[in-house]
Amino acid sequence: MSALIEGLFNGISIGSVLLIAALGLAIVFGLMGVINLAHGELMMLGGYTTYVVQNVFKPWGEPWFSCYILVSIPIAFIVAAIAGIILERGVIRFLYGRPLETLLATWGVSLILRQLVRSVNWLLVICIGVFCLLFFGGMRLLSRRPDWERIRNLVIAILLPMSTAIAVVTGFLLSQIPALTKAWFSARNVDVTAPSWLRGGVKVLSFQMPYARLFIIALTIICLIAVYWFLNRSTWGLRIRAVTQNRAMSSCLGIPTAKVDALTFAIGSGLAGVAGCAVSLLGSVGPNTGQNYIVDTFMVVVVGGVGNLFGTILAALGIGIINYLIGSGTLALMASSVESLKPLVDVLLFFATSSMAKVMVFALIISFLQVKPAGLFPQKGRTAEL
Amino acid sequence: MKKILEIENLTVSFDGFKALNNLNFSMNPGELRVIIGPNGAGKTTFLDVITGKVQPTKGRVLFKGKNLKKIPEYKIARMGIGRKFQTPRVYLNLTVRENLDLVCNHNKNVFSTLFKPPKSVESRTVGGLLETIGLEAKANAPAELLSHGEKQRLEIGMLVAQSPDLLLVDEPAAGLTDEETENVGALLLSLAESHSIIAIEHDMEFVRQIANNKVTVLHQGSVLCEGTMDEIQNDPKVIEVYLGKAPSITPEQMNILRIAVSMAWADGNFTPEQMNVILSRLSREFAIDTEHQYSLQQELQNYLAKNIPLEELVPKLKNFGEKERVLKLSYEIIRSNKMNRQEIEVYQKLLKLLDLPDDIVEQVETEIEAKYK
Amino acid sequence: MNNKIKKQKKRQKIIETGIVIGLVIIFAVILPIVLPGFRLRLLGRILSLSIVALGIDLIWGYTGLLSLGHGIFFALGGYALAMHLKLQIPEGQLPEFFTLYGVKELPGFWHPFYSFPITIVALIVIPGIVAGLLGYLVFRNRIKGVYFSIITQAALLVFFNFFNGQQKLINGTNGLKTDTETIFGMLAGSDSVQKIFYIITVIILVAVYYFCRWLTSGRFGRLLVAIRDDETRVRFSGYNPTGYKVLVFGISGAIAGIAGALYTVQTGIITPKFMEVPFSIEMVIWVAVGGRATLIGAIIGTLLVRLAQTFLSESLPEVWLFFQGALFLIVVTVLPDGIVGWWRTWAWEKLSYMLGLKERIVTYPSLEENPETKQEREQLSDR
Repeated sequence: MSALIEGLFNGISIGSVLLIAALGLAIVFGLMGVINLAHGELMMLGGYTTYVVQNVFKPWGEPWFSCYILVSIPIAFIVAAIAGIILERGVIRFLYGRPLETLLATWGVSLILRQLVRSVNWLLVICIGVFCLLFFGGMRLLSRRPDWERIRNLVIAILLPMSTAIAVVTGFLLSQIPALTKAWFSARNVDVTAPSWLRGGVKVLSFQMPYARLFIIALTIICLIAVYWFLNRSTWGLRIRAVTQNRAMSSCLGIPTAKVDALTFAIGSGLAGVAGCAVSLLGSVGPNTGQNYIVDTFMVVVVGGVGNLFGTILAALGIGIINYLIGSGTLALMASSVESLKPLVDVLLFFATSSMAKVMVFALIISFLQVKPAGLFPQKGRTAEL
Repeated sequence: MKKILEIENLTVSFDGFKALNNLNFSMNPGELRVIIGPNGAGKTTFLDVITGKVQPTKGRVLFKGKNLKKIPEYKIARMGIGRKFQTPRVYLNLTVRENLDLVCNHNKNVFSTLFKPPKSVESRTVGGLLETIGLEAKANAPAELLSHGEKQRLEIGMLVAQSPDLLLVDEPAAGLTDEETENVGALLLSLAESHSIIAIEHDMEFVRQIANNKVTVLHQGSVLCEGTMDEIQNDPKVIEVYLGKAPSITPEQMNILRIAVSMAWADGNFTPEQMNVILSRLSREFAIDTEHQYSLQQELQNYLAKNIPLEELVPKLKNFGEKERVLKLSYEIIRSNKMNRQEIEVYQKLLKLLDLPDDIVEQVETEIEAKYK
Repeated sequence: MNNKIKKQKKRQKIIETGIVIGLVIIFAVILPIVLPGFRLRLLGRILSLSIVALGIDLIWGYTGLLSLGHGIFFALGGYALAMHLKLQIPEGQLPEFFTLYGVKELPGFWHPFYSFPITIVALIVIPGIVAGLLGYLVFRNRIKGVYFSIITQAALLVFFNFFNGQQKLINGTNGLKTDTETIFGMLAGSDSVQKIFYIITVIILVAVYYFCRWLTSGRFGRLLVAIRDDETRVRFSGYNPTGYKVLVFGISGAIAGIAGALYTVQTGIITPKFMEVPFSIEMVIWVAVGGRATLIGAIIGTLLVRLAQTFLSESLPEVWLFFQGALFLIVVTVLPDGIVGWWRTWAWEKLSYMLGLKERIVTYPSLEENPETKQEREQLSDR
């Protein structure tokens, strides 16, 4: 019995990590039909932000250090949200209506972000700054000219290589200074140490409930409530829901759909940042952190169905619990007490490692989709499919 | 005769909202049936159920006596039901000829499509179809370069290439110019000679062009009424649904209006002056006060329908006063613009049917002539 | 008129065949003589990757299904051939890695791979069937678009986990080494055998290319395009798209299997790494760079991207990921039709004006190129 409760607790805790990661993805997917392959990298940004905040708080000592995690959550949200806005304004908005291309483009972004955290140093930041200043500054200046539409392509053709060249040359000149070329994080994983009050756990029956996991569950619940409140009670939430249901009509009614898109994307990305913050408590953070979670969160979205928060919650918890129960061998243990279930136990034992559990869960998801192809809560009506 | 399509107690609900509600419908082979109905009446859902896109919640659909429940769309299509969508849906990246050729394929199994070369019969059919829909010159152009009207025609062509027994056509005239609408109408009428057709339409002018048989009116998911175009147009229920209220004139007054209208149509040409005469005269006669007169004039405009044979209308006139009124009105209508032979012929027919004493006729005529001098 | 077109087509065909034969001679005869062994191996690997790209072009370019899980089929083909090579040992012995995990008996599914013909059939059929099965389970429920892509990606991860975790069956993470094994009594890693592998790769590439051409040129190919354009319409025309999609996905998987086998023997090892997520997405970008639905574009794209990758990651390893990311962004936003598409729709037009091969359009294309207008003009000039 206690094994089952322990299994459930751990399952819920895995599920809540999945949920907090999938939440942003589900909102964005519901609104724009866009799957963001860089979502995992936004989580990673959140994780690195937490690491940076921790390092800033460290020299201040206690009691400041204890509450760094509380500060890092909003900062992670903001950092990831800004990255999300840049991503949406810079790339995705040109690709609406072409979901598969969006998928590829966001993958490109994810590659760039992964390499960025590996090799980011002051030099790179300066070079990018120089480039942006020259290129976008030049564009902005010239766009005031009356014949802008005509010379636009020409300007891009000249400005782009020029500003690139100047940025590269600056980079070469400055690369002599060793302080600038030192990588901030390097390719190795960085560790976030949980503050003392998150270490240890509370003992229930015969097992420990780690505080860190309880904290994550609480954080997930808070995020859920906040998202629910935002979507259902605020003006912008109403607009977001309107655009989700009928983009063309909303636009006709004067809802600024472009702003709604950007805002939604920012919130979705921000949630990814919070998720990254939560994940950093569970293990070290590295360039590939996002990749470990991304496919599972996609599965949550597929199983949950589009545009329904409740579906996402159910799917995340379901996948988390089943994953843990199979992977830890809890199910096999429980079944082994009944003699007649012997073949089942053998099968379950075969899948009783965390990586093999994923195989089983995938098989279950595929069979689930045979019954409910559009997820737990599909959209209904004549317009649902076409 | 065996029905080609029978629908019994059909209900389709989406999350409790009944898009179709206990609908009963049947049609004979070779019939061209037009379905009209206000927005949200369930017209498109009706087609969705027949083609298998939506499964009925209750009731059943029988095509040539066979229940279509749980049969996938492609099998229903192979059984002989072809469907044209509201907006033209053709394969944009294929040429016109390839579009037709794909649908023309008789054996649509995966492997026969892969291994068997197209039959010469099929390529001849495609050639013939290109001619029918008038797109020979663009046969090798990709369909994305076609205009909206050409796409509509291509899609109808694809439908025919499928050689179905029952054609379902969803708003074929939507977004077309008058000329194109007429072409599509003629195409449908010629197809109706060899196919059974269900057409959904909003454009009443177009409905009058193609409805040579029965028209079905859908309202809130069930059949409101069924009958010929004229029966439908006079049905108070239909008028109420379409115009939001029952007509404020009596059936007798409506009858007078109809005769006047058919006089105006006598030469096949309904001029504005004639319309003006009808509207102003009748509204003045039926109205209680000037305000009512104005609103009546607006309302009557809705009933200016096409030709109903005089033989049907005249016997319905009840008394001498009505007949005299009809005579006055009719003469004024044909007198309002230059009289021609057809009009005089119809007028003579009317006189014979009215069977009024000669002196009264003469009196009325001189009275009106005096007005126009 | 018709005759003229036919003649033109015939001439085009002759030119094309000439070009293909020329390329085959360059790649299969001259290059093996000129290039040093390790460069040739590299080229062979790239060419075998372009075979997968052809398969991806079939399903993505023509049918509009974006698979992010082709690594599965690629690796399955590779594993099949590697298992055969591993079994080139005296009867009764086990491949050496089994002893590390204390396995005493050869697992049952290894047995068929003793035979070479069965292995060849298996490396085509197994990936094909796995792809077909996965496709069937997904397509029959009309799961498409992004959902399909995500599910294939998840499937990829699952296969990766599975192969990674099964030490006792297929040596898990370490994979199977083929370089040190023998094939027909010769060392698979030796230069002469590698040369043979290379030439086989070139031949198979040409064969697969023509196979795909055949598939896409007839009614079947047009139906694939039709499915991409409007699947609902296809269904209402009496076709069952599921069957077609399953078949083409299966074929694509089988092609990936062949490519995987060729790639494996020219790499010298197969590990579950072949099923990592980034590798499968890379395959898609090769096709995108070359140009979707062009077949030849898939080959060109693979060659270009892989060569760039080789040189960049040799000289500036840090830059490669940036470059690759930028490539994804640029191809999708600026060059959606790929190099071949850009050449056909834009560059070739410009070039043929410059060379005077084609009349410059002075008024409107609709006036000068519309067939109806052309016909009218011809009729008028006939008079």
